[in-house]
Amino acid sequence: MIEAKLKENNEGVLAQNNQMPVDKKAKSSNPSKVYWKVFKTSPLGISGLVILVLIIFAAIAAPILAPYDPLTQNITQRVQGISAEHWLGTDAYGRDILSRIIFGAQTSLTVGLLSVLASGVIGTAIGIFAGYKGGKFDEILMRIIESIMSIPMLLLGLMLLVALGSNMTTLVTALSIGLVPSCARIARGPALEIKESEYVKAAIASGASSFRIMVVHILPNIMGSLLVVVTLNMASAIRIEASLSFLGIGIQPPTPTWGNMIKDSLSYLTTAPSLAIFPGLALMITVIAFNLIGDTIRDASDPYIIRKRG
Amino acid sequence: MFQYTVRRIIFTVPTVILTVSIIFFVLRVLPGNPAVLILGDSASAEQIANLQAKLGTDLPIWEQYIHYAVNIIQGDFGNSLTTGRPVTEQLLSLIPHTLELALAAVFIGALIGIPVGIITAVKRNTFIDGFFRLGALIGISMPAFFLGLLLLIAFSLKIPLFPSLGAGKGIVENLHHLVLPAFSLGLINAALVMRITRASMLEEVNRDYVRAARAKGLPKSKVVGKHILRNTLIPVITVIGLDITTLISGAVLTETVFSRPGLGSLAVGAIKTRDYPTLQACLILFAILIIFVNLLVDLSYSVINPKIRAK
Repeated sequence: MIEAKLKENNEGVLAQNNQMPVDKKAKSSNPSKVYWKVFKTSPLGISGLVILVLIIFAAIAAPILAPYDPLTQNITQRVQGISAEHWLGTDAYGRDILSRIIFGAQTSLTVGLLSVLASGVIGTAIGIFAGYKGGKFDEILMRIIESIMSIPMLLLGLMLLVALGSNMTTLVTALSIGLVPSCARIARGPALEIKESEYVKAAIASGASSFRIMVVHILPNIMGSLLVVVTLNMASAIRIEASLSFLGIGIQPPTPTWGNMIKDSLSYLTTAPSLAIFPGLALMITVIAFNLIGDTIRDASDPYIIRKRG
Repeated sequence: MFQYTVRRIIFTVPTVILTVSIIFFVLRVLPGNPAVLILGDSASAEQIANLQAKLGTDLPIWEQYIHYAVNIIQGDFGNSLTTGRPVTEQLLSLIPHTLELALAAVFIGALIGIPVGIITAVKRNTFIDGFFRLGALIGISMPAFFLGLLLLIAFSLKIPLFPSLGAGKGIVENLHHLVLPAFSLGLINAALVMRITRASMLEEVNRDYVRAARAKGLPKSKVVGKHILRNTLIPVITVIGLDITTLISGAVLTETVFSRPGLGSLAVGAIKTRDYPTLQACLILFAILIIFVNLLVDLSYSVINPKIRAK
């Protein structure tokens, strides 16, 4: 709820920013340069980016980086502590924890990326369409969005995974549905305002189709705020995927994910707490990285901060 | 005001119907035959037919939906498949546990989040500000179950100060059992509260009335304490008291980590045992609770800010 309200506030601020006359300095350079300028002066933003690049690299290069196969069991080396051979120790089946964490990054990022992309495209389309068309259509879509929002994403995931079985496709579908409202709401606000603007009226008068207006005139105005939402959504998606896997209903073993690694560690909390702590740290750091980047991009979309720093 | 309230309540009705229908659709229609899902592929045709009759899933879909709706209105969620007891009875016996956890978490969240939010706003861009903002960032990024596990490992297994599972009997033991779960949920809550307090304080700082108060020579402590704080806190308190979505997901995970009886652990247990009626009831209860609390938040906003009523 608070997150929703915070987001609402941001939506307001961001929507306003879209309407504000752009600073001359900022106008002369292209948007990606403006973002880069803010990132450069934000140590937290930079560290978020660096962490993320490292995680993505680890995920892509997992087969080369990981010292062991993440699935190979070795009963003689069960639940071992930190050693030169196994940097982060081994789990209950003698599997190398570091290797499993590296491969876990693959799962987390894939699930996050797929659900964020799907929800981003669908949510934005719904939001722009609802805002632009207005009326009954808008009213109905917004009721549906509100209903989805009244089921927490974790429970929506639980429900769909129970009904359709635990697999990657269902998980991504569930997360995508859960994330659609955030994108739809952020797209709808500006769409409502922009359709009343002079230039859209001019475009209509010169015979532009609704589709063209939505894609060429409204969409670019939303990109900045959408980028913030999508980045923060990535953090939520990864966190919820891990929570579902922790509850034993997300991605199923033996596929290594940070969530099911923590779940498997539960019987060893007294003797080997590191089994839970290492994958948990990996998860936490990844979510922090996305939140840092999201916060920085949000600052970058705020003309006040750009002026102050620029 | 009255008109706004009535309109807002009427608007809630379609949301409730739609949400409850979504739950019906996902749990009853999507799986094809829930009885097969519950019993597994190895079940005999006779077993499946029996269970279908018991669940009422042998009827046509529209008839099932009517039964479902009527039962919800009557507060009858059928019998649990594992214990055989009425689900409603089970829910009622567990509500106090979850409520206790949620209230404690909200309390801890406010107690830590508001003062820290004020301090960071007043000392903006200092070391203290940076330190707590980083802490809050970690807080909002921390999955509820991981913080729970860390607290469990540190203060129950390594340093045995608190019990690791259950809810305890009697008031003293009960509170003792509550400490760790309440903090693991409350600290995450505190991070959210801190961020929102800081943001809304900073918004107020640049207002004209603050400038006026400063200009007439009031000391900073008075400007902050009397003028800014009052205007900041009303919305903050409304929101933190009712941060229901985060609380519910958090409670599900926290109760599981600490093996604490409650609605969340009931739902998770119901998934493991394929206890369909119980799971369905938990989901409906959570959803209706969220819609109801959101309605209260909206209404309380309109009391605080008359502009919303006018819209």
